[in-house]
Amino acid sequence: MIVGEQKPLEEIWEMVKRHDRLTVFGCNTCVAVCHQGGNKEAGILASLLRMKASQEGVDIEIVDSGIERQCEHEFFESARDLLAKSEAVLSLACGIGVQFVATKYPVTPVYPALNTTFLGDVIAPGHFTEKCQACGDCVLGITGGVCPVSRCCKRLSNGPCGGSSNGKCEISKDIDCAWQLIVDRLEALGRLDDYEKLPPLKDWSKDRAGGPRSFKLEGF
Amino acid sequence: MEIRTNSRLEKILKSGQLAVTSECGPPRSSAPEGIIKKGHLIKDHVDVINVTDNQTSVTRLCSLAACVHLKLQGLDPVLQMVVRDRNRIALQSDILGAASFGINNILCLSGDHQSFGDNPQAQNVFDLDSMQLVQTVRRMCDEGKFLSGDEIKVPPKMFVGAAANPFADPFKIRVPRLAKKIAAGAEFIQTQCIYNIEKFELWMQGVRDRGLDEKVYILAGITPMRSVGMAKYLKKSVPGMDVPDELIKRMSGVEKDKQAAEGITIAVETIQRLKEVKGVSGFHVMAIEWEEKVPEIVERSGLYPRPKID
Amino acid sequence: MENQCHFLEGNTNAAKRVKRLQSLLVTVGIDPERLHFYNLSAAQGPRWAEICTEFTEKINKLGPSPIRLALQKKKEAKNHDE
Repeated sequence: MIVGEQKPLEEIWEMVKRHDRLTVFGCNTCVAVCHQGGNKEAGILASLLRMKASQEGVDIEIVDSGIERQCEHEFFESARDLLAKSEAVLSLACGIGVQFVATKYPVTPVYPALNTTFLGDVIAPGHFTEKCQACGDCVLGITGGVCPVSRCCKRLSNGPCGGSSNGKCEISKDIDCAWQLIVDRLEALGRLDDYEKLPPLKDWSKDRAGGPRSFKLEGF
Repeated sequence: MEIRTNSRLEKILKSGQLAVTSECGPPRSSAPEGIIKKGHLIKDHVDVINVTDNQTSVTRLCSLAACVHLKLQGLDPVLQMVVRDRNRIALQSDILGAASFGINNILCLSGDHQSFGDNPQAQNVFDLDSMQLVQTVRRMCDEGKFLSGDEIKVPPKMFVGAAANPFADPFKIRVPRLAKKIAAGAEFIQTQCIYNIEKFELWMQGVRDRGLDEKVYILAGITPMRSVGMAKYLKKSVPGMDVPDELIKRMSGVEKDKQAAEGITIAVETIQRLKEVKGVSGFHVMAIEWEEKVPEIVERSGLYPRPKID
Repeated sequence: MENQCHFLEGNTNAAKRVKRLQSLLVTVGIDPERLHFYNLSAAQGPRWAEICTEFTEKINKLGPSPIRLALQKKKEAKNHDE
């Protein structure tokens, strides 16, 4: 899922304070799992902004709402009227949802309440870690199911580098060395010999480097 | 043995003699005098001189330009090239540029992560990794082709090296990793600084068991310690550095003003012991910001005078 | 009481939420001391009264909340305009 983190309140306030009527709009799927952008968080953020507004002596009418997903047309049905009459929208969705709202409402200002941080999993309650960078050319089949693109700080195709120490990355003791994990997995799978195979050079044209990506299902 | 390039290092290694290499870091300035001075300090005592490429991710005068300065002084530099800052277009382009100045040696590295340097906010590139850079240079030299497959009218001629750290984890792939670098095309290897000699010898045993010492020239990395403080720092703060407690004890058992001399002696003893290890083809003496001590280390280790090469 | 919640982990969860809310209050300039979480059972009437007295005293000492002051100011300004 997509993980995001709420921006500092001060930064959000600076973006929205010029408006008279603001809709604080939650997205109740990915970013709700990390308790940053769901409809509940939209309610809390709206309260905080109301308190901020009254203290700053600024008159803003702040309404909170939300839908299940801000990245698909059909989910917007229930919020159609509200959004249509909003002067501005503070979206708690990831960057995708913020842009989707902006495209749907071409003359309504839309602001991001979150920094979209990564594609990750929930390894323990409240603990989210990056696992994929959507590079467009998955190598998990040859790396024992551990991604070197997202999890090695140097995204090495042939790691580990000389900085791997006690299973940790040289840049932080909080980061596992992805190549230690790959080697351990290959060994557990009885495939350590595969370690010495040189993979082809990575085709980054399938990554962000190749420009915005899209794909279309035939016959839809 | 066939000599592929004009590299002094290649000629000495292939003649069966122990090679001595060293390194110089370019200045954080546009003035070349510093690196030229360092080069002259050590030129009679080493065969080739590595020039580091923005080491520890701190911005410096570029490795290629510094190599050109040394080359113009009649020295034989080793262009260190990291894949952190350049994509495959820039890497290939710089290789051609280096070859155009008659730079005969290249050391292919991944490079320290930018978070250690002066621009931790920088984007990193890592289009290729160090192993793939080795493949790239060999392809350009041997096949006369760019990665795209296009022909290079006048291919570069370079003696291609890579680094190896026998002390990093996981230890079990440290020999396979060397095999992989050799398969990629590495002709010489410069190792991480060796303090834990036993562990290094264990690694070399594994290297010989697979006959890898017959396929690549291994230059053992030597860095003299200036003080017990440096020994402790290396042990504690530099990942992939293995400094045994006995060495720290030995350094701290010496008066402060004699610790530097003790560090030099340890370096000399290490070289003397490693000379006896089969498969060690030479030494890479990295006296970090202490280049003036290189001649003494080389002389006391019995590696002076250096062979004359035409 | 702690570990004796009718809803098992309900009160420990609530305590965590209150802590988080306190940190959110700081971001809007409200003293987190204005919010406090106490554990007590239904049988502790006297203690309940004590807490209420203590807390009222504390809030009195802290004075009106900045939000109340802001709203009051706004109202006065409005009256003045009229």
